[in-house]
Amino acid sequence: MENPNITYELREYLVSDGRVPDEIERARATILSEHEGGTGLFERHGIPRPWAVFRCVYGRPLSCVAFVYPWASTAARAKAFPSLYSDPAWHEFRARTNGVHEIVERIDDLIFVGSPPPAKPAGSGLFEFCRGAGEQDDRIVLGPLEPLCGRDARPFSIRRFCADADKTVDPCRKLFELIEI
Amino acid sequence: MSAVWRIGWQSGRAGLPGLIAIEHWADWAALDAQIAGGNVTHRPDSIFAHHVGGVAPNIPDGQLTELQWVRVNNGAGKLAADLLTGWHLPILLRAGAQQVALFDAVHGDDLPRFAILATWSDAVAALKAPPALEADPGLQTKLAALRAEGHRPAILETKRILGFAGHAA
Repeated sequence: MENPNITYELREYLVSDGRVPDEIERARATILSEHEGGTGLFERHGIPRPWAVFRCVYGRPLSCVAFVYPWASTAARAKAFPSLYSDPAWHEFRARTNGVHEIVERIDDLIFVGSPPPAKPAGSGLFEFCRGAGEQDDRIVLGPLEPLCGRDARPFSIRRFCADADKTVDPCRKLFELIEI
Repeated sequence: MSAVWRIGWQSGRAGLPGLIAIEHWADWAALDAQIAGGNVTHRPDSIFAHHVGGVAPNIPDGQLTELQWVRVNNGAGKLAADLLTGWHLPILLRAGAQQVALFDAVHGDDLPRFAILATWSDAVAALKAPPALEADPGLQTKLAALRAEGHRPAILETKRILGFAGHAA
């Protein structure tokens, strides 16, 4: 029987202090097509729109912007991003938006496998990136996804944060708000 | 399309040396085929990477092996790769390493980073390598020149692990 799972890439960018808005603006310009007011760079190199983009509002590191990409395969991913990185237009855009210093200090770029993505979560509210949550949790909007690399071997999920259900906020938690691109 | 490597490390229990897990696939499509078959599961503290320097290693299970995680300043990957291939790998060989190879991480935590794999006949020789790196006049002259030109340090941090090649049960 054909395996219905797909590959996911979670890119968490640790951004230098004060530059989260710069990173979100750069992401918007890179993701949107030219007729939407962007650079069209993702479209040109076959990079899909992220399933969702988030910014961290609680947890460590706080200055973090996260992107979730569904891919047909790791091979498709391995073709697309290097193609972008070899484009002089990307280098010019990257250097111009960096200014004197890099916007991004560090990246956690993890690969997972899991069921095809549901519709992107709608509306406002906070989301929790969690490890090891049960499949029966009805607040899960993506996952559980099985990791193929990285330090943490536990399944990854994104679920809605509910203040009523979560009476206390665990300091190890990472809470995110959804960014509209 | 270049080969895909997955390199991971699992600490040993009760003071025993850890395991350095090394796998490779012919390309990403070969990895996808194994993923589709449900035959790829997580490896502890692992990266997916491309081999970019030294000789692609052939390391038997049980071989005393060194894994270096080398964290790099974002935007300084080319300079770091030049330093690692031009100085660090040859210095490791002169210090007695048998095989040395450099890998550029594509997926994993704390990118950009590189991994160095080196095999050793004995741990004592391996432990003599860091002073050799710090004392190498060619490398120190190169680093001093880069500082004088105003370059940020390309390499932020190196973590060195000795273990045995193999796979966790």
